[in-house]
Amino acid sequence: MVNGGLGIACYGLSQALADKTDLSFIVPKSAASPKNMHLIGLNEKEHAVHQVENESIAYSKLIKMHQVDVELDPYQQLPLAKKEKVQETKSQGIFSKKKKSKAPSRAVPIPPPTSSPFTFDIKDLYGNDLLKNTTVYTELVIAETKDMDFDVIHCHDWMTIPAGIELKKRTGKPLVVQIHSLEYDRSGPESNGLIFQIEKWGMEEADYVVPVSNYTGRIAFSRYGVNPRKLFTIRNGMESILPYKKEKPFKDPLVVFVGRMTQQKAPLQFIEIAQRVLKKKPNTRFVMAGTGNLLPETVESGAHQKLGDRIHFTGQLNRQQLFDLMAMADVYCMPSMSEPFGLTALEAVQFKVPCVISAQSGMYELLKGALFADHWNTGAFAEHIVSLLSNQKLRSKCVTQATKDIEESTWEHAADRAMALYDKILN
Amino acid sequence: MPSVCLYFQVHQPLRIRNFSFFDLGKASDYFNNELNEEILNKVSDNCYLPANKLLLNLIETHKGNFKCSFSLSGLVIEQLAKHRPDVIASFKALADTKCVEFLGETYYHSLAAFYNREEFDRQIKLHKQALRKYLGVTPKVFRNTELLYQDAITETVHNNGYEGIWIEGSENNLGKANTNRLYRSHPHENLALIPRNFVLSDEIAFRFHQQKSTLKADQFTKKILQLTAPQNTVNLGLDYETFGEHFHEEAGILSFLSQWINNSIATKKIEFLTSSETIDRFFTVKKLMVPHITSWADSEKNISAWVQNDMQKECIEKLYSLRDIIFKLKNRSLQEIWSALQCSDHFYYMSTKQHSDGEVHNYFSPFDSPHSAYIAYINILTDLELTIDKMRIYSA
Repeated sequence: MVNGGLGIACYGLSQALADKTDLSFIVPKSAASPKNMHLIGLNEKEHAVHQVENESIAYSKLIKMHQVDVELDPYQQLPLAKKEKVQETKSQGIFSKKKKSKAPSRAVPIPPPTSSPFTFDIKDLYGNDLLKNTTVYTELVIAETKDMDFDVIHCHDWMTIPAGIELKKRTGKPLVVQIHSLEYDRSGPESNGLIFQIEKWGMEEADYVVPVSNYTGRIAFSRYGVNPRKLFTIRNGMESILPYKKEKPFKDPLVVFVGRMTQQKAPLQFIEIAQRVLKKKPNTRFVMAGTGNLLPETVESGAHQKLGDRIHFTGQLNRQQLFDLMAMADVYCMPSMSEPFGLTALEAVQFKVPCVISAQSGMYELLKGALFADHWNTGAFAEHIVSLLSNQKLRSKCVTQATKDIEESTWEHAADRAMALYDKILN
Repeated sequence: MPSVCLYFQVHQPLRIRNFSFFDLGKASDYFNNELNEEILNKVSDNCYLPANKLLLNLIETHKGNFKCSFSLSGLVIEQLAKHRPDVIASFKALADTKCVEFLGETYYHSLAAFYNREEFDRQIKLHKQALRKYLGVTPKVFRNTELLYQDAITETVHNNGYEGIWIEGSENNLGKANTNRLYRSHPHENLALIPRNFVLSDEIAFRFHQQKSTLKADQFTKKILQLTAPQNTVNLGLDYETFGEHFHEEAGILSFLSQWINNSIATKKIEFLTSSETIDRFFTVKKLMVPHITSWADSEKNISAWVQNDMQKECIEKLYSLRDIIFKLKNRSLQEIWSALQCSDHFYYMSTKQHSDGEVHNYFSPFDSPHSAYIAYINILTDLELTIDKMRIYSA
């Protein structure tokens, strides 16, 4: 699905890591079984038997935060949630331990509560019961790892941070917290709620913090006060795609936006950009792929400008549809307010689509062959798009350079970086 | 003797498919034929056939003492003729009794009256032809889409030979004037205005079965008797689908209808008249000026059910902006597609109204949200434009 770079990243990294080390991969739901790794889908376990220790260190901290933070109000269920026993049952699933003899060390990456990236449901991640689910998830991870032997705990984003910390406190094993996206990215500079606090807490407790870009590392440092010596950037890889071209149903140039329709991805700014582009190139068409809480407002804003016949909304796309769209696109535009990495841009590059991207993104340090603008500067975005649509030389220059830029962007490479980090921690 | 003038609205739109960006340029169908046929069959079996049969029986039983009017949109006639000729035959049987009058309206159940006068006129004529062809009748009284009305539309209606026009009996039409009388239109004084008594009409249409209480036939007869002073007429207008579709037969809606009609005639104090008979009997001198657009829909009773938010405005303006080129191309099927896209229902589904009005919009919409309805519709307009471009190339 288009929504959910986090799931895709965890999947890609774990796949590559599984070839290099013993890996236990704990996810709340398992729909597909990735190759070569020990995948534990918690929905396939009988949960009722798990014991919960209420007075655990991690929980007491969480409860304490609950008492001091005003923004906790919507989450009042939190202290109750941990007492609940999840009754969901299924027969024994894939649960046989698998060990690799060659592996020098073992790691337990704890990815966020997603299933396989391809069955990723946005509601799992951003639904109302998220916090409760996070708490339950933590309990289940503790129970799951009781008899497990491992060397490193590697968790991803705030939903898994309580589990990572709890595990560290109990076992004394080093904790790696990988940051795919921060509350700062999702909610802006004013963010200071519970999730922000969990992230801050996780990065404080972590032995190493792994941002997916130096950009995100700078936010961790400047906004969360993380000790820069603990930062270790590991950029995402990408699924290698066999690019193709597809004929558009019209002759008009096509500019695409792909992403959740949320404040972070700036869909309303994209409408403004489109409006500016149309002033210079009135035959341009735009596609906005994705859904989110801002979708209705974005659609209405397009209608208000009377651009509805120029801006096409597709809703959420599957992989094939996304590829078809990239295969038709003339320009890819990502105006995000803050984008830790920007996996979709790598897909656009693979499809030889020139990109116009927010300078507030991880892509800024990776793609020399893209045009950048500050996220608030819709005029600059529009100018870049118009340039790319009118200047064939510039287009091919961008595409050639960008293709070179992403040569190193493989999951294999990311996994090597992770292995290097584990070595550093363990030796 | 006081009288009741009752008319039933019969309409089924050609609902569009969930047309996506990926359908563009693929010569895909715009209309959801399966769904349209499914609904048509369902409504035919639940409502049109049983209710027509019931009314026919009543007409025969009461030997001409029961009369009523019908307004069938061109789109429903067209769909029935194609898929349910049995239903057309049952309407024809009603027409043949001479106790049922059929009203004129716009063929496509459109808002053309307010967007293109020429198109409005064309659709009135098309509809007249359809009534002649399928039911062998010529309409004398007009009823615009959803009782949308404004002084400005009277000219076209009058020029098409109509004697009168139904309007909503609401305050934005009548002010403090009595609902249960007729009026003259302005500026065309020869048109009679028949105001619909929406309080009593909604008593059946919306409040027939509420919580645990069901409206009783004798209660309703009493309410009418209270209102009908000697010189008055109670004009009731109802969606025909109320009888068997919106309320199912198990709720007793059909037996209510027959009991109420039997009751009323038995009192010998109530007379049923057709729309033109009502005009003949009650036409008065009092003029009504309505400079703004009124209708029977939602609590506002204006055009806001169809044209209020930016999505609705964009779509309808875009649609009518294509008219000239569509007609220049002289391609019949393209014209018909464009025409069916005028159906007011498409815009109704895009309404973002909340609360009880919003609930009614949702009830009728085949889309999961007004935004989905808009996206599908605007994609179709885009595809229509791409088709027009192609036609220009190949017909040159």
